[in-house]
Amino acid sequence: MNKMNEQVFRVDQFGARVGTRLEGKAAREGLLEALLSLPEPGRLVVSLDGVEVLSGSFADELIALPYARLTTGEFGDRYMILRAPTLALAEDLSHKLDRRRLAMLCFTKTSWSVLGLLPPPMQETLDLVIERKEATAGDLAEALQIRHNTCLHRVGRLAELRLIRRQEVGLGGPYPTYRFFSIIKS
Amino acid sequence: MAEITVQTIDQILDVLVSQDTPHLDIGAVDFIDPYGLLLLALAIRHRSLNGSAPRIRWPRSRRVRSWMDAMGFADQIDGFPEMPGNPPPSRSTALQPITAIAQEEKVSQLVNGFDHRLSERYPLTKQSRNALVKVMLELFQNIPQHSNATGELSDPHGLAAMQDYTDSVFLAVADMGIGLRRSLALREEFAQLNDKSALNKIVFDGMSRFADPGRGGELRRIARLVRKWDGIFAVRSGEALLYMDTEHGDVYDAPFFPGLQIAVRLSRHVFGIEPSPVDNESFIGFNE
Repeated sequence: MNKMNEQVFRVDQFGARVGTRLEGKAAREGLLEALLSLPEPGRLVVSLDGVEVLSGSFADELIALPYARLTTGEFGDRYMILRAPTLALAEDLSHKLDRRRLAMLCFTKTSWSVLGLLPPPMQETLDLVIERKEATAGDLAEALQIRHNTCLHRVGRLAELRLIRRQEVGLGGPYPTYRFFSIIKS
Repeated sequence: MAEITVQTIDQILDVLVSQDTPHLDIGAVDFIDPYGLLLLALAIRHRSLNGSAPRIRWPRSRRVRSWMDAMGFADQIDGFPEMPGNPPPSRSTALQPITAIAQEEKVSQLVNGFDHRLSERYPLTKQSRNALVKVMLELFQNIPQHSNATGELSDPHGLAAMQDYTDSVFLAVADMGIGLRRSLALREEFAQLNDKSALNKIVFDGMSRFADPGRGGELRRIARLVRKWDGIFAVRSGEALLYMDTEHGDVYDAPFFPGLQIAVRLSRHVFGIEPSPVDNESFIGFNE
């Protein structure tokens, strides 16, 4: 089961060319409101449709900082993804996420990619979760031909980064067992 | 001295800042770039605020004087004399006159103004306009955010100006604030750096006065972008000057001047504008 509530937050409500750090900080309140009002589990799509310029300073205040808080678990079972007309538009945001050692899913018209910092083994695992829509660590370990513990580490980190959703499905001995879900709309 | 440019302005700063009773002779100057113009205005102001106003022999060139007028130089400097018989300056010779940058709330509006002036003159591609807008947003907002980070100045005198030439577009941004070294020194681990090291830390390592990793890195990104576009990038702060062109990039010793001053010169190819085959009234930089 991976039904998620969804809400779209349009950045162009603040202008087509944004902006300064101060403007990004002011805009952040609206984004946090949208995030908190989203029923769990929820996916906030931050849309750059209609935006022509997204400066690094504005993007850091509006998107990267809330995203950093999201990864601490502060907002519960909620996620953020970016929708952009082109990947180039999100380049400075990617740089800011990279500096913060974060990673965020970004959709363009034709494909999805990861902004920020994500090592290739993690990317490989993420690709597989998205392809399968949902999986267990065992399934993924087998498909990737890696050790179960290694896979657990990878999916755990991907879940921490809010790139996939983790749901407890029972107990395997003394430990909880999880299924991992793509946060991309199927 | 025939030109006041990124390459020569330090000779003027040496005279204006270090001499007790400065006497500046720039009568033979027949070309000034926007970076030179902003630093000239700031250096004269600095001298007037910290001692006696310098005696200056102004350029004799009518074209240069007319351009200085059109760039609004007289609004920056008390005592910039009118040239006898000079026609009123035509604003068309100046792409973007000297503009004060003080409040962060006004930065986006100012950037749009600069962009508007450039796009009025040239049919730029949206992509190139947007790239320059992004550069201006970061450079302009640095002034209210960092130039007076210690809160000790009544006015850091932030300025920006832009001019087009036969082969390039030139943007200059300058202030008389605390400069990179003192800004970075607000972090204890960088308190002992000199101007050169501070400039290196900020432009090459992407550091800022904030420990927050999301802050800083903008000058490094702009430097890389300008280099990718085969442009020229100069950053001056305190006693250090970083000069980067398509061939080289290094930090040099420079005579002390407070604040931060930046020059970005980009080939017109970047904006999809073909180089002009002949000079016309819109351009300066040639002998009369």
